Amino acid sequence: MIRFNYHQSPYERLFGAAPAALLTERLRIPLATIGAALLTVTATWSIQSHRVAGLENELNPLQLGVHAASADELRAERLTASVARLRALRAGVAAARRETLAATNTIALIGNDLPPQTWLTNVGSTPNGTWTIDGRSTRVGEIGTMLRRLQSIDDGATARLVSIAATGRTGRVLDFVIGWDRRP
Amino acid sequence: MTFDLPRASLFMAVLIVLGGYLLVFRPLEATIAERYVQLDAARTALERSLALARRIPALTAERSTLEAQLGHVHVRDRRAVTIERFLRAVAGAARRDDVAVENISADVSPAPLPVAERAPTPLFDELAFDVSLRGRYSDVIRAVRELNTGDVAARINLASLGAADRRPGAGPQLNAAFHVHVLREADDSTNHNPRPR
Repeated sequence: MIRFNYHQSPYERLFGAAPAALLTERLRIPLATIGAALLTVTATWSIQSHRVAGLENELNPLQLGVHAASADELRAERLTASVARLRALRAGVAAARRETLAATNTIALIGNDLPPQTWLTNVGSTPNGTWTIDGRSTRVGEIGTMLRRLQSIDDGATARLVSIAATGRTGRVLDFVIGWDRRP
Repeated sequence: MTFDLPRASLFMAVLIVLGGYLLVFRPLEATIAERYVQLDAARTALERSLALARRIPALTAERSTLEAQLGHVHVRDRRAVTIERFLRAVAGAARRDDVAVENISADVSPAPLPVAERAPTPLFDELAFDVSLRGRYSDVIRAVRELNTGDVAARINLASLGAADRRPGAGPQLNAAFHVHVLREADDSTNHNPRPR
């Protein structure tokens, strides 16, 4: 029994002998390939866009936080600079006082360690640490003792005898000059 | 030449994927990398800011302590006030330690700068004086020590020490000359005023 399709679609009427199934079958793989390619690109775009949006959502509050904290940061930096300057001032004052104390102690040590028959006539020092010690003694040996004691005050310094000369009417008193180099 | 539909569609698909890679994937990947860099920078900046902000109370307390300590030696006073305080300190030490102030003169020679002060902006404005004292050996040393621990910050170096002429009825005395550098805080370079204060 032959059946007639009385309700033909416009597509079947237009293509006549070319059946719809045959056309679909020839284009199926190419269309699927192109569709898959388009789908891949679209999916990539979608995923990447979501990643960008997520990162921006994370970034915005952080940037607001940074902006809000910048005032505190500026204040802390100013305070840090101020404290560093004050610390340096305190250290400078302490160093100056230590230096003065050391110089005073040195003068006291020199005076206290004088041998019995020896006395000082002049002590001079320069800011770069060179000292000149003038004195008198009745014995040459005590000038040597004086030199040794000076050396023992500061191991880093160099004490050297500059001159010894007899003075006075009898020539029994000796003028001496000792150089003491305490340069660092 | 025949038109091969599967090959043509495959070629088109490859072109689409390649175009997507060049026009979609790579620009967005670059944007993501940039966002990550911005995130790292923002996190670092925020952590630094918060860490600094947490130090504010401690820094404020330390500054108060330092200001109090420096207040005892008056290094932040004006120049004239510092000189007046120094002269009063010398007079007080001389009176208490029984030494005579023979001479005080402003030293015009340049002062040697300590290592800490060789920065471009000096920390201290040093007021240099030559001070001569006359008295017994122990009294002179005591007077210098008192000056050193007083309310004026100063570096005192010996210039010379010599036996003084003996006066009738007095014990052996000596003349002591000192280089004194009174320290006061130099004007901050941020609000430098060239006129002397």
